[in-house]
Amino acid sequence: MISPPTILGRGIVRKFGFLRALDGAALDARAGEAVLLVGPNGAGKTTLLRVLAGLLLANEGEVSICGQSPRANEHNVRRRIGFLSHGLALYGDLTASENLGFFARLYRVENRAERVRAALREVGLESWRDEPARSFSRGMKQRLALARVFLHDPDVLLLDEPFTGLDLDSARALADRLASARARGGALVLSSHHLEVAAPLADRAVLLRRGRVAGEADLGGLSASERAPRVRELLAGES
Amino acid sequence: MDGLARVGALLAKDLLLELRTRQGLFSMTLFSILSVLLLAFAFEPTREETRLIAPGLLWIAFAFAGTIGLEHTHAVERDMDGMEGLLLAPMDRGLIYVAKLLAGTLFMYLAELLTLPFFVVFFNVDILPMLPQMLLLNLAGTFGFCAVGTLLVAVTARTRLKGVILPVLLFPVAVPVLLAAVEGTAAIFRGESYAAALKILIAFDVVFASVAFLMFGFVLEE
Repeated sequence: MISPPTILGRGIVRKFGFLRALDGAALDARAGEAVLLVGPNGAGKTTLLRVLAGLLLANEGEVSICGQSPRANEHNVRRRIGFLSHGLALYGDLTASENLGFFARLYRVENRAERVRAALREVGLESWRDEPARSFSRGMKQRLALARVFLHDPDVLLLDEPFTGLDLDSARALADRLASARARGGALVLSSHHLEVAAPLADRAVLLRRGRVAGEADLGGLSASERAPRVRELLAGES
Repeated sequence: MDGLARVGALLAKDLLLELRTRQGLFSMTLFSILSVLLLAFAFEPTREETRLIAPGLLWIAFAFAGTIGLEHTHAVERDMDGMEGLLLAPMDRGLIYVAKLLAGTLFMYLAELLTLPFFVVFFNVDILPMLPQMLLLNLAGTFGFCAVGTLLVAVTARTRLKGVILPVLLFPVAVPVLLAAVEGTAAIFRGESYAAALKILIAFDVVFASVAFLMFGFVLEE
């Protein structure tokens, strides 16, 4: 028996005034599956991720996370989601450890101090723990935001351009972290233009264009090195 | 208990940010003191005139300073999109309102306390005998003003004009609170009972805070 998708979006319409940013978009990801969302700027990738995360309301369509409607079970659903966006969701005047400590308190994370230390260690910011986030480079802020995303061990990861600003080592470390989250049964949807790093992680690539799914490529049977070219073909075929 | 712990975390974060930057309290206090100073020089009131006009002047200064403070408590969430992190957290969004209301009330109240000595000097009024009554009334008035303002600042945060549009929406809605606060302060200055005004303020506080708590989650929805 096939298990129901951990992340499910069907017929999602989201309007901003007269603009239909999402026009019937659909996306699903099962436990242990990673889906790469690609498409040109303005295709609706960020909007779709925000709708799935419950940050934006859909005008039409169905969204479910782990079999639950985000509207009906919002606390349970939010507890299971790790979401990264361009905004980073940090406080510039708090230090790295204060930022993570604050979010750990909101998520009622156990062994808070130890978890914060471990999270900072994982993203290589342990020695920067007492520095304000504002003083960090873009890549360091991104690493801190990623530490926040993983802090409460979410099993649904929705990541918008997670490799932005990361150096090679940090990008590899993130790829390893995402692979281990998948291996533990996590469902992952990420949007990225960094295909060389992102495509090898994904089982499927979904092309979004003008708010609709315009194509899909199964990457599961391909070797890691064949995946990025396949995604480029998908992008080229539809553009 | 979880809700209280989360409000505690949210409030502690806002206090820590204010302690570190001191931007909100400093701007509010400076604005409030300057308003009192300008009004004192503009009117140069006698002791009897002060008794008549001071309640209104004080609350004009407090209300405008409070508007700056309310806008600031929300601005810290816009800096690196901290609000998004709050919206993703597994908690009732009304808790964000409670924490913002408490932080806003605390900062505005502190600004009022820091302004009062300047009011005493510029208007040559001895407020010491009526200080306990004033502190209680100001607390109730400040809470009510912030109860409305905390909700409306979240509404205006979605608009392009943000802080510019806030007073336009806030002052008409906060009129009942401001009128009761001015009336109560005037009664204190006249040496009369301010109990009626305080009761009205407390009633407004309860109604405004309850309605705003329930509406806050909807206001934050995009």
